[in-house]
Amino acid sequence: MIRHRKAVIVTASSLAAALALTACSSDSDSGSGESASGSEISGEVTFAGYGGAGGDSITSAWLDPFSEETGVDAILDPSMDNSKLLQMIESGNVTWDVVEVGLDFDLTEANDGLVDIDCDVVDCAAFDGNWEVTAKGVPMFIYSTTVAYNTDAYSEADAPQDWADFFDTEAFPGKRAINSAEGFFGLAEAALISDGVARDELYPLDIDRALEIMEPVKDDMIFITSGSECIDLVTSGEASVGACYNGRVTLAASEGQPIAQSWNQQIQSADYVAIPEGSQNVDAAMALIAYLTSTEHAGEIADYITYGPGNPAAEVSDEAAADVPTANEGDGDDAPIVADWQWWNENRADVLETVSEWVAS
Amino acid sequence: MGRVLTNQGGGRRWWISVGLLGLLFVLLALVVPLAVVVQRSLDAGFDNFADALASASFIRSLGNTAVLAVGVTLCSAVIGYPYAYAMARSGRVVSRILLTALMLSFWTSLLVRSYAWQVILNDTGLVNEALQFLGVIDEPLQLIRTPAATLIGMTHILVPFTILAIFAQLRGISPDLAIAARGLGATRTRAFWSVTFPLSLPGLAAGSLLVFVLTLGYYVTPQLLGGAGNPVIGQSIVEQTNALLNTGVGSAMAVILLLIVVVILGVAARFLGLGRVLGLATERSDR
Repeated sequence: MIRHRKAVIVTASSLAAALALTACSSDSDSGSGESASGSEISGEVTFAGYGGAGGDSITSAWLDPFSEETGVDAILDPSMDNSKLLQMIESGNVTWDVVEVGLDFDLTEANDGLVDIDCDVVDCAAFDGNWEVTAKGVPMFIYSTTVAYNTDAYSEADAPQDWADFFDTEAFPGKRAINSAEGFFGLAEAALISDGVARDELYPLDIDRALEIMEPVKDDMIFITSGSECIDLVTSGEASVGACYNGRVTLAASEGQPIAQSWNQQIQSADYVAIPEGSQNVDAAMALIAYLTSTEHAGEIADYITYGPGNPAAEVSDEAAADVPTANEGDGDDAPIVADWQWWNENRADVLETVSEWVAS
Repeated sequence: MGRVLTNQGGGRRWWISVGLLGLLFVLLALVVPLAVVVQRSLDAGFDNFADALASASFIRSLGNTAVLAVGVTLCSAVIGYPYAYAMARSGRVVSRILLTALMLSFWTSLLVRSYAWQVILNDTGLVNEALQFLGVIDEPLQLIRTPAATLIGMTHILVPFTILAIFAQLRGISPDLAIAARGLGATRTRAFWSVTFPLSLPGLAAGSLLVFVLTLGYYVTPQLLGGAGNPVIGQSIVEQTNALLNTGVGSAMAVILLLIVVVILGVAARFLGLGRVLGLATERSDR
C-alpha cells in the first residue's frame, strides 16, 4: 500500500508538473524608464521585434546608434507577437514602446490600441511610394518573397525565374517550399498573375481560382510556417524551389549555402513600426520611429540585412544595393507584386479558412 | 520522507507552508490564466463556440488529434510495457542502463528530439538516403509530413511517461508472487498473464491516460513532423490567435479541448477505477 501511494504521488505530481509547464509563460521585465515631459527625451525605449538576424540588424543599424546619439536606451525585446501585443494593450500592462508589426495588424485610424503617428516628428511626406504612412504606423523596411532555388539542382541559366516557373513542376521538378500560414498572402496574387490575370483585375481576389492553379502541384508542396524553414528546405535539397524571404536567401548564400533567387515578380511586403497605447515613453518612442524611418538613416538597415528602407527617399549603400529588393525591381511583367493589404485585412478570416481547409484536405 | 512526517510539529508546519506556496504557484500559473481563457471564450456569448465548431478545419484537426492520441497511447503501451518490465525485473546493471537511457531521452529537449526525427525522416534524410544508396528505392519515400511521422515522434517523446508509471507499479509487485504461481504449477507465461500483468494494470492505465491527455495538447512536434497538411487542435488554435488575432475563437477552441480532457479524466476516474491511481477519488473506487 505504501508503494502504491508512492506511485500515486509520482504519477500525480508528474501530471501536475506537465500541466504547469505548459501553462508557464515568462513575462519580460518592465521596460519603462522615467517618462519624458516636453520634447526632452530620456529613459528607455523597448523595441519589440522578431529576433533572429532581423533583430540583430535592427539593433546594430538603428537602436545602438540611436542610443548613442540621444542618450535614450533603446533595447530590443525579440519576443514580439501579435497576440501578445493585443493582450498587452487590452490589459493595459504595456511594456513595449515601439513594436514591429506586419501589414496584418490594423494600422488604420480605427485602431485605438495604437498611438497616432505624429507627422511633426516623423517625416511623413517622404513616403510617396507603394508604402504609405498610415494613421498609426510608419513603414520601417521592405522585404520580399522571391522565387528561390537550390543551385545544385539548377544553374543560373536554367533556373526558375518567376511564379509561372514556380508552379510548373514539369519544367522544374522538385518540391516547393511555400508558406501556408498566412492564407497565401501575395502568393495567391502570384498564382493568378502566372495564370494570366491582369494586375489591375486581381481584386477582389479569386481564391478558388488561385487554389485551382496550385492544385496540380499540391502534392509537391511543402507547407511551411516560418521563413527559416524555407531556407532549410531549399539549401538541404529537400525542396528544389521555395517562396523564401529575400534577406534570408542572401544571408544563406553568403554563408556558402547552395541557394539563389530571382528578383522577377518579387512579392513585396513591409514591416511597420507603431507605438502601443499605454507605452511609458511615447516621446522617445516617436523619436526612435522618426530616427529609423528618416531619409538619412532608413537605408542603413541594408548594411546589415538585405531589406530596403521603408522610406523611398532614403538611399542604401552601393555595396548593399545588389541584394536589396527596392534596388532590384523589374519592369512590366517582372515588376514587384504588391498585395492589397486592405483587401486582405477585410477578407483574411475567410481566406485563411479556405486555404487551411485546402492544405489539410 | 517518513521520518520528516513523524517529526515534531515544527517540521510539519514547515512542510505545510511549503505546500501552500506550491498551491499559490499553481493558482497563479495555472488557474488564473485558465480563468482568463474561459472568460475570453465567452466574450461574445456562445458565438465563439459556434464559430469554432462551424470551422471545417477545426473539426478536421479535432479528428486528427483524436486519432493521433489513440495511436500514441497504443504505441507507448506496446513499447513501454516490455521496457518497464525489463527495468523492474532485470539485474542492477541492466536496470540502471535502461533507466539512464530513458532519462537521457526524457530530459532531452522536445525540440531537439523533434528536429532529430526530421533529420531521420526527411526526403533527403538518413532513412531515404540509406535506402537509395542501397538501391532499394529510386524515389524518396514520403515519410516526413505524414501522420505516421507525427505518431513516431510523439511516441518517442511521450513513451517515458508510460514506462515510468508502469515501472513504479511493477516495483510494488513482489516477484515472489510470480514465483509462488510457478511453484503452484503455472508456466512462466501463465504466471505473468495471471498474476503480474493484472496487478500492473493500474500503472499501465495511469501512464496511458497521462500520454493520451498530454498528446491532445501538443503543438510543436505535429507541426514539425506532420506539417500543415495534418493539423492538430494546437495548430488550429495558433491559427486563430496568431494569424487571425481572433483570441475569442482561439480561446473557445482551447476551452473545447479542456472540456474534452475533463470529460476523459472524469470517465476514466468513474469507470476505469483510475481515480485511485491518479488520486482523483479516494475510497469509492477501491475494488
